[in-house]
Amino acid sequence: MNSQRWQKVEELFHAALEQEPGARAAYLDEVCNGDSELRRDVESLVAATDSKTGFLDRPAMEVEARALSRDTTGTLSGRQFAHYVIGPMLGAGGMAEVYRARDTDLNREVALKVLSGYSSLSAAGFGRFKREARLLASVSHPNIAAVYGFEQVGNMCALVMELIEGETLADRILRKRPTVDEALVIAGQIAAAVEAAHAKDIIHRDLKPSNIRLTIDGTVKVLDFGIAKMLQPIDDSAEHRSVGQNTFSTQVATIVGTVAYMSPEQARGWKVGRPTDIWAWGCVLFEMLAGARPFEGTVWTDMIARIASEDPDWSKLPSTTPDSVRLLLEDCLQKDAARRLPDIAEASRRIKNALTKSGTSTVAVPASEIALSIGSARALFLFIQFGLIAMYTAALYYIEKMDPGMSQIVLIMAMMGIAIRLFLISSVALSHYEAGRKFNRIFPLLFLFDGAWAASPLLTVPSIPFGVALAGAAALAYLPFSQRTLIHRIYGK
Amino acid sequence: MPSRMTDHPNSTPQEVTILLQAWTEGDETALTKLAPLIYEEMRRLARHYMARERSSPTLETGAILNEAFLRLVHWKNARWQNRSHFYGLAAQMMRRVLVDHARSRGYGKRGGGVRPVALDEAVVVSPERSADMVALDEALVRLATVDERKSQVVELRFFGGLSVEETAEVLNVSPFTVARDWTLAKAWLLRELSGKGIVE
Repeated sequence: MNSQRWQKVEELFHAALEQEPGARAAYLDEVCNGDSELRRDVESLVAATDSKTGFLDRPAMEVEARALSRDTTGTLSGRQFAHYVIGPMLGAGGMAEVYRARDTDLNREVALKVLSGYSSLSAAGFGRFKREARLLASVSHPNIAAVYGFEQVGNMCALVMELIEGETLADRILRKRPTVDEALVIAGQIAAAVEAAHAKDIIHRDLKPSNIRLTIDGTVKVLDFGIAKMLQPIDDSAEHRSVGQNTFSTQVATIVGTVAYMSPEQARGWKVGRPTDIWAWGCVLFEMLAGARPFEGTVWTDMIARIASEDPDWSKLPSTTPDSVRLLLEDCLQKDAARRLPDIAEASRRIKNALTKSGTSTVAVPASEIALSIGSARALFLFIQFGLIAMYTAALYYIEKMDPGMSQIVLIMAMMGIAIRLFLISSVALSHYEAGRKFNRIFPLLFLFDGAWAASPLLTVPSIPFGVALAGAAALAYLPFSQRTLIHRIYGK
Repeated sequence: MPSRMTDHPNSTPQEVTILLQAWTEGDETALTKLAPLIYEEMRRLARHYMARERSSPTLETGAILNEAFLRLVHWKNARWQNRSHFYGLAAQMMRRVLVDHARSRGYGKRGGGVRPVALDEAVVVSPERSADMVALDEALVRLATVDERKSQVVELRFFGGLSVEETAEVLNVSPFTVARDWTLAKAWLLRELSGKGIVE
């Protein structure tokens, strides 16, 4: 096709799209002026835009990832590592994957951060990783997710950490923005965590809402202290290298992904230190109050430019924000690290003052939305299974009173039902990690099955009042969904 | 089990920056050194992204190229043109990584054969089927012979995961032009893949 013709096609294509769908054919008749080949060409292109298919709407990477997601090769779930049985993957970052795991020695659930193959460490890097792990394990604070230790088998190494359940602060802000008082209480606990770490010379380096969790009992837990530094693939013994007049660090690797909370000195690749965490803390507090990050941009280069040179939009803060808190935020978000709030303890103190002044020093941290612990979910799930077995048994007991055709059906269903329930009971009770996935697979069957019981002949037994039968039917019809909810809670989706 | 890979490419941000600079100034030999470095990095990022995606599918794909840029290029020294060159190359390498990936996924499962899909079946063009990713790649090569910029837009948007604004920045055209190119390119590719191209 020559370029002139292609240009014509392009022009007509866009023009045709601007017409009402009904008027396009007539429009093309007119403009193509008898050139039927041109008309067909344009028309077929227009037709291809009409299909509401979502063609190419998701990036290729996501398409590939989805295709792979059914395939579990590559994850460690179900394997044994040292004395840990590895469970479902909880998340993965640039350099490591996090799994839920069971410590079979101490009989407790932990989180395992396994270094992925790519971040293979040199001998020196490995030594440093170990030293850092020891240092992190020495910190004990109620607001910090504890590091229990370090395991190594062959060339695989993992950090053993406290398993924290509950929603992340990022999710919380999305779901329902905290009130000013709640935000101050949460920020106060984060500051306490940072203070404890700074006392041991540990810099978080990657403080952000997705690294902070609100637990079921309403405690704030900060995760991944100092992890960013540990996972650096490059030896940073020469943290500053001079090239001409520019000083830059080799820590580029650690600043990835979280540009929004990056301090100006981090963005420039300068040395990071306590002020870096104070900046990030200010960003987190700002986001809780305003519901938006202090520095945003559609293109990341914009974001960096804003961090380096623009002031946050203070008008985004709610009008009920106390002046002392506004001042505190301004002090934390000073571009020049030397002029920033010198010490996180100062932030703690000022937060406490603000809370006392508003007379609400006893505000509880808004507890995580997830009210049911995994243990209770499991117990409830098992209870439902036993209940259903009891029901099948009852049905079998009444079987003689039913007419022969019906009794056959009930007999078969009860037998199948008992088999399915026994399978579910054994896999959940023994915490078989594949149970979640298997449940998803048998869910359609279960749905049909439990649904059929909702119209169970049992409920038409004359001795049961109509109202009870109706309520029972409704409860039975809802059962498959509640079981799915519970399974998702126990195993994740 | 993650295997220990041959170590991280021993490229420093400086090295990549210098190569990028040289290439931007027209030195094609720099490209031959640069491409494998970036291909390797894209492969690494794709693997990580997929591991992450499996557990919590919330990540923006656009961040991937930014991540690569931050890792590989000493961006403070890099000039604006370097950046667009980098993004262009990185998206191209990502395309290769993902198409290779899809191809290897397809082997053994169905022999990797490519068959045309009907227009109304196009929902399945985007997801899951390895043959479609490969077919798309081939169609994109053909699109490049008709209109190169449109194939670049698809490369940057679909394979690179860039937004319309970012794509516009890289190609040095207006976002409006990118949006128009994107609409036409999608229609063209869909038509091509549906096997209903114009009978010459």
